[in-house]
Amino acid sequence: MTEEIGPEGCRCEEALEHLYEYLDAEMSEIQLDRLRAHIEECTTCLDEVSRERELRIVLKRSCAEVAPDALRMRVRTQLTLLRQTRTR
Amino acid sequence: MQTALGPGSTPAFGMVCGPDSCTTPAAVPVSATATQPWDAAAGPRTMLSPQHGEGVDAVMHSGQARLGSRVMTEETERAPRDETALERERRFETDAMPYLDQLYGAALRMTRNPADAEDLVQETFAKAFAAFHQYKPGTNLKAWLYRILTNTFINTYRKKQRAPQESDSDSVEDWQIHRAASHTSTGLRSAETEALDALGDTEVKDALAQLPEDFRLAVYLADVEGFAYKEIAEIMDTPIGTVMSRLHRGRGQLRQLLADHARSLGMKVEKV
Repeated sequence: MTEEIGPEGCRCEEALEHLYEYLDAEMSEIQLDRLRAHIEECTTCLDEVSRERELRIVLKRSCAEVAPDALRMRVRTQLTLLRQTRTR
Repeated sequence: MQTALGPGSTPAFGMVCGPDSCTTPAAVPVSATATQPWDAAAGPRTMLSPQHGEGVDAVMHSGQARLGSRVMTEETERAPRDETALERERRFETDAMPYLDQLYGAALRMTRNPADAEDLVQETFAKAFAAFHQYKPGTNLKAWLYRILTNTFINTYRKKQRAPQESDSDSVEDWQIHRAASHTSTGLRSAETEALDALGDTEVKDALAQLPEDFRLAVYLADVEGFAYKEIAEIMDTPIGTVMSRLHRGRGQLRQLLADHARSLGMKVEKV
């Protein structure tokens, strides 16, 4: 435990304000641990975390795409053309 | 010196297309693919020229630091010295082609229509191919490709699409207020997760498409592609604070849109 940032220092207000940084792991280990300690004990925050996680899962699932074969062909043909342009 | 693609003239994570150079992919002349200020005039040592806005400098600076090329010599900044052009081109195909599906997915979210998305991806590959000697092996190829994609989109397709844009007032207070407010607002909370899950892919993609472009891109890059804030900042060429603000607002709006949509489909989102 360091000076002012003990686990008990974190409250809902702070956890929710930094929820995205927490979920994105865009904070220091110490801060992550602090928020985690609170979130694991708090239903409100835990709910919020699982909702955000769920949204990401849904988003990833929905946005998965496979490039059309025609595009794959176009890109390959283009690369071949560009290469020939260079060597000529 | 105008031959911007010449030795040592570009940062490892450099952009390759300028506002007016994103034309026909198959006919991109090499000299025309590098008209961005920091490409055209500046090598890594002269990047902090007065042409750049502060934001750009900060981003390029952090990019340089992260990608570890700032202190490197010219030899190590570029592709291996003993590699022939043909070998490099083969390496490009081997390394970049696996990102085709992902880049196409991102292009679809950007352009919101398959025809433009295909053109955008093709153009991106052409530019990346032409600039591949500037890519430093071992750094993040995916981020490098996404930056070319994003830049090409902004320079070519955004103009064409004329999608309604929200004013870019990404004020920090805004999303902080939003988060604070959402804490107290109750009603459509408990069943929201369930409703989300029940929504089809089309509904989710439609909701995403409704977000203002900058929000949409930030959310996509973070939540679908899993890029770090710093990488998104480099890809979108914007300060990290702006990325965070766009994520906060974009995610909030998306969630609201999805909840609205679920409710309109008669799902029991409220009062559970």
